[in-house]
Amino acid sequence: MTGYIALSLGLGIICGYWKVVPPVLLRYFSFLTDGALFVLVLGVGMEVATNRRTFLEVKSWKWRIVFLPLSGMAGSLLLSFMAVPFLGISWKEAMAVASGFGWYSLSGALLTHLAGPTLGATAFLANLFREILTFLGVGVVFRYLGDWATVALGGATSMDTTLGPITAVSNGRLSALAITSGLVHSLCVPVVLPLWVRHL
Amino acid sequence: MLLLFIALLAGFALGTIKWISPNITNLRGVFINGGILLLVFGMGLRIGANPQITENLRTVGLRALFLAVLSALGGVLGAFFVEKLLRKSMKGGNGK
Repeated sequence: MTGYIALSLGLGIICGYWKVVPPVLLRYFSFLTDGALFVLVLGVGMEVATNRRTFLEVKSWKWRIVFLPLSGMAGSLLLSFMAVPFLGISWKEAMAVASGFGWYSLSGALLTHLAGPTLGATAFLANLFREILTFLGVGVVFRYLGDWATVALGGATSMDTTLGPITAVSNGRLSALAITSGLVHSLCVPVVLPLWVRHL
Repeated sequence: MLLLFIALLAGFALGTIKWISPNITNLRGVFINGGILLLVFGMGLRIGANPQITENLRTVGLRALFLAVLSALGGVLGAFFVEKLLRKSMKGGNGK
């Protein structure tokens, strides 16, 4: 599946870059991605209904489930902080970009507004790359690092776009965990991200 | 967002209601995988056609890629170790 995902993404980029699809038609292609996301989530709903183990997975962790998104977010911020000397931007800027947790549209727009277009573009691309990395890496992470790591990889996207691959690799077992973690990540983005550039 | 919630509920209903043909719910794999491929294709299309992205790629692309790898890896490792710790403590009978 990873191969097909990479192929599909590459094909899309080439078609877009070489204008295989006329720019006039391109705006209608947002319907395509919206429609694809709808179909995908519909499939996940069916998977969850057919495979109720996913609820047991959340239930078995009880209140400890909050540590999944929290540890994911803390890890993301910590490792990004450690790389500040190699990045050529201030630690606050690095933290702000990492606080997008994969939600590229919001983090890009927020940082363009709060810190200018260069950091906005960095946040947009970094979080877009994170989403792409999730699509490509979810199989390997699930195989070698287990459940929580798989869900945390998606960050905020694990409740929508990367919910599909997470559901697919785990046969539906991690769907509910992914929705929960993605929701907490998503709620934190607009709160945590401005903190670094505004108040510190 | 609301639409996605509706899709999730609709899928759940389709999978739950007994009199709906299992042939439909058996297609869930096709829905998920087909959805992923279409979504990724559409994403690529918009990336390739957006000059803002392709132009910025040259200037901030490498930094963005580095940050993406680190934030993804950090999230993965953080969750991995905390899951391990919690499983250990749950096995030990603490907090049960």
